[in-house]
Formats: sequence, C-alpha cells, structure tokens
Amino acid sequence: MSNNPMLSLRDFSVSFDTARGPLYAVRNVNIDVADGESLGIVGESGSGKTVLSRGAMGLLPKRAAHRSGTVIYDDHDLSQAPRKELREYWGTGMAMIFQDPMTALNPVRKIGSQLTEGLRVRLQMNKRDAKARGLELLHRVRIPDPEAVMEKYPFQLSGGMRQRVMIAIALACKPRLLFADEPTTALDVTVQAQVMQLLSELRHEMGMSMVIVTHDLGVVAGHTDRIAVMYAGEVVEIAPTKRLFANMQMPYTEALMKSIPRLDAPSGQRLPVISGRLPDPTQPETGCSFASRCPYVTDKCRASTPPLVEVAPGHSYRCWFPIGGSR
Amino acid sequence: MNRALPILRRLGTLLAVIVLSTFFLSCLLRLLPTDLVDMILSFGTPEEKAALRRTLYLDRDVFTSYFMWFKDFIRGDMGIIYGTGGGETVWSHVTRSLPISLIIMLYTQILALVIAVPLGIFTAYRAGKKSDRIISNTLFTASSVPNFALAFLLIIVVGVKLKWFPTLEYIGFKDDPFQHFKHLVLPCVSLGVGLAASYTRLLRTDVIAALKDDYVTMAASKGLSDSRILLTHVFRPASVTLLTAAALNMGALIGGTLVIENIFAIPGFGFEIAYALATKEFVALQSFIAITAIGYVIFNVTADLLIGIVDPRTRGSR
Amino acid sequence: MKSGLWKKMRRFSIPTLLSIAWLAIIGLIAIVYPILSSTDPKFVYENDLGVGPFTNGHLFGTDTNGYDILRELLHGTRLTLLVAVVAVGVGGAIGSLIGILSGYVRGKIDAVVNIIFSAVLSIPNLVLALALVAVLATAPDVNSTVSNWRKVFVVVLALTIVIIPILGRIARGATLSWSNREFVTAAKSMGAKNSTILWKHIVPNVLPAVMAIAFLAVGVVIVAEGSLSLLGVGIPDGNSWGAILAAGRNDMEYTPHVVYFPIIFIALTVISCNQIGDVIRQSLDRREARI
Repeated sequence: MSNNPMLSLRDFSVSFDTARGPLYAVRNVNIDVADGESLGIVGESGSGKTVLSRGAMGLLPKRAAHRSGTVIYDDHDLSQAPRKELREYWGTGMAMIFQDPMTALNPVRKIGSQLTEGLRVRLQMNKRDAKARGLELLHRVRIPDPEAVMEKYPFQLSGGMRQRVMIAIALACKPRLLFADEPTTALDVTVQAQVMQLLSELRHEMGMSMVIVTHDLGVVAGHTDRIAVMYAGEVVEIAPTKRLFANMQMPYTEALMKSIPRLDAPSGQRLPVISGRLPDPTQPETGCSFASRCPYVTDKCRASTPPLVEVAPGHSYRCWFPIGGSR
Repeated sequence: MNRALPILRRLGTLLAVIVLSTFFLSCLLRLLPTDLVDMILSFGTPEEKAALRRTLYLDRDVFTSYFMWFKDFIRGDMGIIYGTGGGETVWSHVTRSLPISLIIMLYTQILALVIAVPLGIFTAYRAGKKSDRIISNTLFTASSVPNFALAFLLIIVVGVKLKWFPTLEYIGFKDDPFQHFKHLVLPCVSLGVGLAASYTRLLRTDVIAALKDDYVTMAASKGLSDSRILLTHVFRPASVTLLTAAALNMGALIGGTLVIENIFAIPGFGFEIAYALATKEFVALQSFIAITAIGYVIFNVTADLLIGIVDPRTRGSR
Repeated sequence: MKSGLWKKMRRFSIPTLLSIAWLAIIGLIAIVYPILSSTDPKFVYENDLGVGPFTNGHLFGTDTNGYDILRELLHGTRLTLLVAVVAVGVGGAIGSLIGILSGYVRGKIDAVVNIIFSAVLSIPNLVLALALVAVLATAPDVNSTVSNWRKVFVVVLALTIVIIPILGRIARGATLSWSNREFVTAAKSMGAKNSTILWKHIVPNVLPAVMAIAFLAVGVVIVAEGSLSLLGVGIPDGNSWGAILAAGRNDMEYTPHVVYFPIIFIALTVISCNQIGDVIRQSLDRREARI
C-alpha cells in the first residue's frame, strides 16, 4: 500500500459544448482524497460540484464533455482511459450515490434485481449468493424486512428507504471510494440526519474514502475530515473541517456559513442570502469570480485573479483580502 | 379487493363498449333505405318473407332483436350467406378467412418491430447527428405514405418489372412454406413500413429520454456494459411505449389489411368484408364488422395488461 | 404586417414551407381550376390511348380510355379536398362541441359520452366508414340506381361520422386538463359565468390541440377516401384522386403512370398535412413546457 492518495485530481477541468460556445463547468481543480478520508465539496447549485464528481469518476458523456488535466485513482491515470477500462473501476473501485433516488432507480425493475445485478455481473456471483449478499446489504443499511423490499418497485418505497437502497446498491461491490452527490437533498430534514449518520458509520465499517458533494455546509460539518468550497467551477477554499469553521478566509465561505439556519439565532430574524448570481460560465472574466457578489470587493479583485495560497498546512484559499488577514 | 376493482371496472367498460358498438351496427342495419327481407328474397312468397323476417328478428323491436342477434352471435350462429343459395354459413367464412388476416397482421407487426427496434436505438444514440436527421426525416415521410400507395409502387416495381415476388394470391403455410412467405412479402412490407416508421419515432424519443435519466448513469456507475444497460435499463421502459403504439396503430392496421388484401387478392377477412359489401350481404357484414370491433377492443385490453406487467407503476391506475 | 408574416415563415423548416406551398397550390387548383378550365376532364383522345407521360402534350400521359391524367387529377382535386375539408370541418366542429361540453360538465354525462366515443372508436375507422357507406348508399329498391351525388354525399357523411369521435376525444381530453388549471378555478371563484369561462379560457386553449390533430385527420380522410374508392364504394367515375387510382389499377401493368400520379398527389397531400400537424403539435409542446 503506497502513501499516495486514493484519488488525485491535478489541473482538472471540464467543459461542455453549448450553442453559446464552450461552457467551463470545472476549472483547474487540484484535490487529493486520502485513503479512508472523508472530503466534503460544498457550493451552491451551478458551482460545478456535481460535474466535478461525475467528471472525476468519468461518468460524463464523452461526446458532450471535454475533460483535461489528470485523474489518478490508486496510482492509475484514468484521465485518458477509454470507457471500457473505466468500467473496471466503477462499482468495485469507485461508486456513486445520486441526488434523487426516485430518478436514479429504474422505475420498472424490482429493487432486488437492481441491487444484485452489479454483484452478478461484476463479481460473477450466482443467483443465490447474490441474493444472500443483497439481503445482507439491505440489512446493513438498516432496512426493515429486506426480503419484502427485494420484491418491491422503487415507487412503492418512501424517499428515505429509496436512498438507503441506493446506498446499498453503491456499496454492493465494496468500493474503496464513494462519491455521494447531494445524498440528502431530496429527503426530509429528519431523514437527512439519519442518512448522513448511516453513511459515516458505513465508511468506518468498510474503511472506504468518501467524497460528499452538497450545497449545505451544515450537512457535511460533522461527517467530513476536510471541506473544499467551490465557486464558479473553482476551488476557492479548502481546509480541514474544524479549521474551516473556526478560521475561514474566503468571503464566499463566510457567506455560505451565514446562510445556514441556526437554532440560537433570535426568532423572526431573516437568513442572510448571497445576493446576485453566479457568473456566466460561457464568458470567462478576469479578476476574482466572486467579485460581483463579494461585500468586500475592491478594484484589485476585479482586475486580477487571486491565486490559491496556503495559509496553514492543508488550508488554502483564493482571495486578495482574506477575512482573517489585514484588510 | 383493491387490486381487483380496477380490473373489474375495466372489464365493465369493455363489455359496455362491445355491446354499444355492436348495437350501433344493429341500428345501422335498420337505417337501410330498403327492406332487408325484400332485398334478400326479392322474388319470395309472402310466407317465405315472413319466415325470414322471423329468423332475422326483424319482426321485433330494435332492442329485442339486437339481444336475440347478440345471443346467436356469441354462440357462433351468425346466419348464412344468402347469395350462394344459402349453402354456406357466415361462421364458415369467418373460420376460413380470419386466420389469414391474423397471420398477415402478425407478420406485419413482427416486421415493423424488427425494423423499428434497431433503427430507433441507433437514431437515439446518434440524436442530432446527420445520420439521425436523415433517417428520422425519411421515416417521418414514410409514416405518412398511405399503405395502398406503397403497395402499388411495390407491385409495379418489385412485382411486375423485377418479378422478384408474386403480387397475387395466398398460399397456406402447410401447403408450401416457402411460397407462403414469398407471397406475403409485398403485402406485409406495404403494411409494415409505415408502422415501422411510427414505432421508430416513438422508440427514438423514449430512448433519448431514458439515456438522460439518472438511472442509466447509475447503471453505468455500477460498471455494467453499454449493451447490458441498453437491454435491461433503457429498452424495458421504452417497450411500454412500443406496446401503447402497437395498440394505437392496430385500428389503422386492420383498415390497412382490409385494403391490402383486396389489392393483393388475398382471401382474408378484409376480402370477405369487401365481398359482402359488393354483394350486399348485410347479415354477414354485421357479424364481420362486429368481429372486427371486438377483436380490436380485445387487442387494446391485452396491450393494456401487458403494459401493466412491464411497467408496475401503471398497475391499478389504468 | 407583411414583414411580420415573412419573419414567421422564415422560422419554419424547409419541409414545412414545402408542405404549406403544396397545400396552397392544390387548394388554389381546387377553387380555380373548375372555373377557368372549359375542357371536359372526360374528353377522349382517341389517337392517344394509354400513352406515357410527356407524349403529344399529355404531361402525365393518358389512360387506356384516352383520358388525360393531368386534367383528370386537376379536376378531381376539388372533390377530394371538399370531402376532406367538409368531413374534418363539420366532424371536427361537432366533435369539439360535444367533447368540450362533456369534458367541462364532467360527471355522468361525461362518462356516457366517453363510452359512446370508445364504442365508435372501437370500430377501426375504415371499417366504420365502409359500414356506413354500405348501408346509406343502398338503393331504395332493387331496380333503381343510386345517383352520383348521393354517393358523394354518403361518403362525406360517413367520413364525418368517423371524424366526430376522433376529434371529440381530443377536445374532451384537452378540456379535462385545462379546466383543472388554476386560472379556471380562479375565474370560477370570482363568479364568472360558465359560458364566459368556456369561451374565454377553455376554447382558446383547446382549439390549437384540436387543430393539430385536425391536420392529421385531413390526411386520414384522404387515405380513407382512397381506400373506399379501391374497395369500390368511394366517389364514382374518377372524380377524385382515389377514384382515378381505383380506375387505373386494373391496367397498371400496361400504364403504370396512371397509378403513379394519383399516388403522388395523395401521398404529397397526406405528408404535408402530417408535417403541418406535427409542427403545430411541437409548438404547443414548447408552449406547454414554458408554462
């Protein structure tokens, strides 16, 4: 076992062809995920976090999405690998949980067949073993009466149950790295916490790495080792979770933080919102991408792009005038 | 109980539709500008005419005579063909001609699916590309060409000029399997091309939609091969559309078969209908059309049930 | 105004423009040709029996009777289109009226209407047309014959009856979905009269859907009319495209052009109608997606 990270993205970019020219969804991202680590990727919708996770895994349609930079998974460079080779890693090496279990589960097939097909195809299990393993997986994601659930269709289950089923499917072939794309967004608030708790427990049990993609800092706060904040396709701040909450540097992170509802806030107080909109991803601008919405913006921010600077080990940010620094 | 109720309701509607449509036909017969009995027995004695009137229940009111007719009809007693001197029963004509039409429709559906499934999937995977645009536009045009127009073109070009296939007659499978298929090539192609075109269009739309669905990406993320994803995840939901389309197009196919049988001189059910029409065999015609309507309704219900099996979401709601 | 129309036309694809052009041409022929042309479509060219296209001034050739095919086709355009437009127009109007009212009042009346529609639709439309024509075009007694005008009238009537449930069901379905929308509920809650709601809110939204299918129905009627002719019960004496085709099919081995040209006319018209119907349907779908 090498000391190299499980997943390493270098200079990773993804662009799409649109009618208005290339759309840069992810720009020059450098991220490592260590063995057994849990990384959160946080940003508002449109920030490129979903494209980043799908792109890292290689799930984006080849014809529409252009990837550049390198993706190294377990010492294998996958950035130029053909789909056939990537498929060898999917399910067994990397797996993904999707945002909406209603659309990510095939509506016309039983849970059992969707759960066991990966086992049968990828691990060459026979029908009986696959079923036994499927039941065990359902049991593991705390689904009551797994036998009955195997025979059900997705639309017959509740949202939380469906998400548990999807987790079971993703974990079926014991992946070493799990991408969870907004795993709780489609769920009720009470169920959200349960599902996050379940994911954390399973990660420890199975010793896998996990990348949790979300728009909600609150969701990942207790379940990640490190957090990367994304804005307009770029990583704008990355730090160990505790340090980020205590010592954030980037005004955008601060704005995200303020938009989490707090129990100790006086009732009736409005949640602050981040005014303005994301910059048009087909029109790359000069300067800091957050400049148009930043409360502390200066002329320098508009004129030149701030580099990613490291303020402490593992803590980098992209801002000319960080919150903790001299202003 | 909950599961049975919608099925019962459906069966009720089905029965109502069958009774109404056959009753409608029965009323139509009363609308004849002339007396049916006089037409059949133009030179008969008054006693003979009165007897026929009783046999046809024309001496009763509309409702009674309909129910008497329907009772006989479901027992297979559909009267006789009067033009042949009364020697042949309508039922014997049905058993002789109906299987031929059913075979033609079956072959046509198979042919249409064999063309449509690969084309629909191919064009969906190439959506927006030149090959897709060419195929899709050609198919749209093809689906609008009336089947008799295609039949005449095929007869002239493939039949008369090239002499590849016969253009007349029907040979039974048991008599000569090779000639059987050879004789049915042109009729089935005439009927099947338009059908295949509309199936392809629907399948293409469905596959495109399915390919954008998360569950296809999810299936890919399990490490399944493209062909497996296509078969197990894309094609199955899309086949619901194919079934619906098959049901919707069945009426047009029945009408088309009627015309095509007459063009190719195939002694099927459509030929019988046209013959009864030409010889004013209204008694036989009533049963023929009733059988067509009932067959059409039964086909639609079967398609619905199959859709229920393929797509569990629709169970009970239909 | 003129530039606005031009701009609208520019948005259409080439097949759509060609379809509009073709329908405009045959529409014009249907109206103008019988007025302007003084020659008899049944004039017999005794020296040119069954000649091919481009012979002796016969652009489309002649049939074995010596009739000029082009002249017959131009002459037959009026009756062909008349049958289609009257059947779809009258049948569509009656069907829409029944469908809209039934879908709006709902309840038992609607259930009955729905079952009647289903019953009529359970007979394939060509078979239904055949049955109607067979009964209605029968002579009152054995020795008399049926006049040609009556035959035409019967064909139109039969096809109209076929169209009623087809468009009626579309209108009913559209009404059911539109009368459930918020703006209708809002209008009701403000005490608007039913007639106002129907006329101001339902009809303008239902009609486009009916229009799209009506174009397809014109194609259906033209095909059905051709089929009836081929089965020997359509419009008589080569007075429609279908009738010309039916007359020509007996000699198609010797004079295939007699079959080709009516087929081309019928196919082009049906394709054009389907194309335009499809464009209307697509623009409706887009509008729906925006709402």
